[in-house]
Amino acid sequence: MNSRTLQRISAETAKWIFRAASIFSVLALLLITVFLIAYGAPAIFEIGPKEFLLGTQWQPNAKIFGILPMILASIYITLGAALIGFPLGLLTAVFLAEVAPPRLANLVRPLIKLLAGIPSVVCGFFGLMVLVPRIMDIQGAGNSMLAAMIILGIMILPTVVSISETALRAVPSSYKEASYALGESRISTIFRVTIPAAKSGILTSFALGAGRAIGEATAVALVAGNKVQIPSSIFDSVRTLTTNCVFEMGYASGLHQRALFATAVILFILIILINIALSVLGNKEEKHE
Amino acid sequence: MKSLKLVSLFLAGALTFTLAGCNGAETSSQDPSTGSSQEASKTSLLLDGSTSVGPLAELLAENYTGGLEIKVQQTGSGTGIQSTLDGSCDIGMASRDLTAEEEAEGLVPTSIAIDGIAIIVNAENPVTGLTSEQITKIFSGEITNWSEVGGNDAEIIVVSREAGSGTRGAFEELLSLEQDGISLVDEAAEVFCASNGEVKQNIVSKPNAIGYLSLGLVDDTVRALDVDSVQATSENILAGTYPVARPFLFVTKGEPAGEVKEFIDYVLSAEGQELVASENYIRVDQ
Repeated sequence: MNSRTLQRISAETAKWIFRAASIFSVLALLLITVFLIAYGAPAIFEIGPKEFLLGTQWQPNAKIFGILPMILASIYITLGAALIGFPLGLLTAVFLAEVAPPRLANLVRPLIKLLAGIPSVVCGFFGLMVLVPRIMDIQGAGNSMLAAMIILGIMILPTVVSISETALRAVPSSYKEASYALGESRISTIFRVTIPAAKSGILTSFALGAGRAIGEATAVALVAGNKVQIPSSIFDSVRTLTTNCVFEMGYASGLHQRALFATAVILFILIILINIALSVLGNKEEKHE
Repeated sequence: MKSLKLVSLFLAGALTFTLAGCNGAETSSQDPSTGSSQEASKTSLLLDGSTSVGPLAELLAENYTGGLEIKVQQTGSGTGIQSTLDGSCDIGMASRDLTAEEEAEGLVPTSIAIDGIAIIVNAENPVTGLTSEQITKIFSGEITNWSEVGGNDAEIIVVSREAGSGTRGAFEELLSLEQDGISLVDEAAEVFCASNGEVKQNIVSKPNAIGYLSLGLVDDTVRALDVDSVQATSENILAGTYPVARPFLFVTKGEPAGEVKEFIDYVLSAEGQELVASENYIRVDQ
């Protein structure tokens, strides 16, 4: 067999390896999704959708499974983390991509990436030892929604910064040059040309950041207080959907265990909704342009 | 050629994974229903469960001189019992008595020590003791300010454990904090922790917090309150005057047999019980 045939064989083999890899990835996602829904969704109907989704008490021993306080906690905490992490992350990305001298940018960028490498439990512990006592000085027990929002806001920074920075850098310089040619200042160009042009990448970074925030269990369990109640202030102790699963999955059995899977299904749906919302936002803007 | 290298690398990786997968026979679990020893002898045991029993189990594992490797995982009594039931661990560790349902499933408890539950407050808190009635009222939300029990004018921050905790289960049973399967502490507590260690951390960092902790884990960083004027010490538990105490159980599916029995025999031997006493737990052989 000559070298050309050999080349074609290896090229075909390589293609099949890549196909196999992607099939495996999609299969893994499908398997998890199907298992989750198959195991958890029936529980929602067994408990009753209204009792489950709108119930305010979670007492497994008495067969009461209401997750409204936890849905609200997860949503509020993710919103709070987004309010902290998105602006901070985007502006840092702008700094790294547009404003900072290259030597400073090359120093700051790896530091932010290092933040991504810190394990969640360490972030949570930092929150418990440093942040929670300060919040306690203001109001409440310290373990609160606010603590979770701040810690999560910090934890999603690396995701938002690195993906937004890549998106900003990908904006063709011709856009910026055209803007300068029309007399716009540097800062004005950044906000009126570069950022809108990088919108889809920036929104992707937001979606990933929000997904990380709503799915975080370890760090939140250490600082949020974990009381099952509908919060009336950010200083209240709350329990998220993720923490509830983590606390009880280890020993739950029967309907209790299926109810926890149902909780995970709701979490899954929330994450999908966030992604849809952010992608609709991205597409809407593109249409106008 | 590059793609050929890629293919051979991939094949090599696939081969390695397959071989690694075939090597899973080492840690087969004990045959639970008949209680008979396995055909293949075990070289290691997995203990899983209570974060109260865990530290003692680790100490016993360290000093064990038999041929077995003992691994200890601390995930909470409830989880340990569940793992024992489904066979994913060899011995479950529980810090409360088994319920009737759990015993009906074939679980057999072996008491290896007795431990007190200390009611702990921050070391700076001026309160040094409470009556059991006051404790029940604090943990059910009836008393909410330290001034009502002789302390500073400050709101009491109640710290509790996750629902599957053995320490919590024993504590609530001993102090009448449970009603029809619903814990009265759920409403009153502000913070819920996943382990004894986390409870201690929260008490240490909050001057007005109160919580409960395995007596063996109490140290100078927190204060254990007197209950009904009785100090929380192992002597008082033995004498029966300090009421808040519970057994440390090694739980097995069926009677202990084979390697599991070997380790449990060691723990119940004079040597094992010496270690128990050395950590301020109460031995069960006297």
